[in-house]
Amino acid sequence: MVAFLNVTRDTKIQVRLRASLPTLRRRLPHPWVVAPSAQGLHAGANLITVFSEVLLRQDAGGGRAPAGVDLSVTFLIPAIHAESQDSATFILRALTANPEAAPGRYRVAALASAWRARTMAGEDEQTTVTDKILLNADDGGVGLQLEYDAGVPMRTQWSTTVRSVVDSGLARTYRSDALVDVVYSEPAGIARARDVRLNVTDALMRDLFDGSERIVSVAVVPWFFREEFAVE
Amino acid sequence: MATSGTAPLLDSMIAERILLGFQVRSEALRSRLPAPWRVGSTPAGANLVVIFNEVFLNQDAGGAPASDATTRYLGVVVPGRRPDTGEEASINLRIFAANPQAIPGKYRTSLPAVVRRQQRLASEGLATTVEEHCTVRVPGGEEIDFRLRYSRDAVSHVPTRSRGRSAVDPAILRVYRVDQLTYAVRDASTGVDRVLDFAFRTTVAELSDLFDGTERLVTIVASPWYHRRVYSE
Repeated sequence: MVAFLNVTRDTKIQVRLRASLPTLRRRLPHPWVVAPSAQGLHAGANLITVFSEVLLRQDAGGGRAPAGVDLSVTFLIPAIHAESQDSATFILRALTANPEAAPGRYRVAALASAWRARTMAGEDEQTTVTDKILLNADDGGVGLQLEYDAGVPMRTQWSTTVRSVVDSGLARTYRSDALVDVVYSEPAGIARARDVRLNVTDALMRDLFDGSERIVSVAVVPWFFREEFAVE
Repeated sequence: MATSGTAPLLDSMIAERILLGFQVRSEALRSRLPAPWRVGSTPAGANLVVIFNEVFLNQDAGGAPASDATTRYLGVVVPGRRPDTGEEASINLRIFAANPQAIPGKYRTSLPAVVRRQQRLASEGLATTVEEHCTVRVPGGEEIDFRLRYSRDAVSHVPTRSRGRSAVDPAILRVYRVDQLTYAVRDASTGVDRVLDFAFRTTVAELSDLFDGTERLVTIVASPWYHRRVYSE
C-alpha cells in the first residue's frame, strides 16, 4: 500500500527552458538521461523553473504540515531511466521562504528572503496581470518578472514521480489537478506574455543560466491541487 | 459522470472569491423572499451576503468549459429558512455578471454588468498584504463599489455543503459541495479583524432599501482557492 503523505493547494508559474544539454546530463545520476518535451506547447524544454505560492499544505491527518505555507522556486529536469524507461522529474535546487522547508525532503532547498508584487486588473472577461517575484539566498537568487493577458485555462490532471539529484532514492509520487494557462509558447506561437525576464544568479544554477538558455514556454497556474505519496 | 449520492453533477466552478456579510433591516429582506421562506442568518450573524467571484473556469457536467467559461460576477444572497420543512438554503436575489453567456443564469436572477476588479498582492517572506477594488456598473450607470485592504497569513481548509435556491423560482435548487481555503478577514462574532481599509457603497436602485445607512458589515471572508461542484439534489 502506498502511503499518502500530504496535500498541497497553491498557485504556480512554470517557466520551461531549453538549457545546455551537456550541463544537464552532468547533473543527473547514472543511468538517468534528460528527456526533453518531444512535442506540444513545451517542445524542446529540458529544464523547468517553478515558482510556487503554497497557500496550505496539510498532512495525511488534515493538520497543517511542516512548511504549510511557502513562497519558493524549484528547478527540475525531466528524465527517463535508460534501462527501465521509467520517467521521473529530478529536482535540482530550490529556494524557499519557509525555514521548515530547508533543506527539505529532497535535501536541495536553501532558505531565501522572498518578495512578490502581483497586480491584476480585469474588466469583464479581459484580465491583465503583472507579477514580480524575487528570492535571494546567501549565494545568489532567482527573479521573475512578467506581464500577461489571462486566457481560458485548461483543467489538467497528471501523475509524476519526483526524485532528488543528491539521492535518487529520495522520491515522491504526485497526483496533481490544476488549471493551466499557457501564456507563452514558442513552439505553439502563443504570445500573451510580455516582458518575461527570468534572472538566475544562484551559485548552484549559474552553469545552466550562462546566457545560452532560452525560454520555451510560460504557464500560469491560478489553481493547483496536489496529493503526495511515498514511492514504494 | 460524478454524482452526489444518486444526484447527477450539474456543473463545477473554480474561482477566487470575496464574501461580505452584512446585517441589514430584516423587513427589507422579507418581501424579497418567496413564501414560505424566512430570513435566516449566517453563523457570523449576517442576513445578507454579497459575494464577488473571479471565475477561472466554469465546467459543464462532462468537464468541458461552459459557455461562460471565464467570468466575474457579484451575487446578492439571503440565508433563508423554510419553517415548515426546516430546510436552510441561500436564496439568490440577484447576480450582476460580466459574461453575457451567464444571463439570465442558473437562478434566472442575473443581469448584465460591467465588472471590474483590481487586485494587488504584496508578499514579503510569508506575510502578504492584499488590496482589492471591485466595481460593478449596471447598464443604467448605477454602481456597486468596494475597496478592501488586509493582511493575510494562515488560511484554513473549510469544505462545505450547502443549498442554493432562486428568489424568482424557489423550485430551482442547486446543491453545492465546496472545497476551499478561506481566510477570515473580519468576523464580528469572534472579534477577528484584519481589515486595514474597507469601503462599500452602492447606487443601485433595487438595493437602496438594503443599503440605507443602517447596514452593518459583520464578516469578510476571502477564498483564494475555491472549487465548487453543483448537484441537483
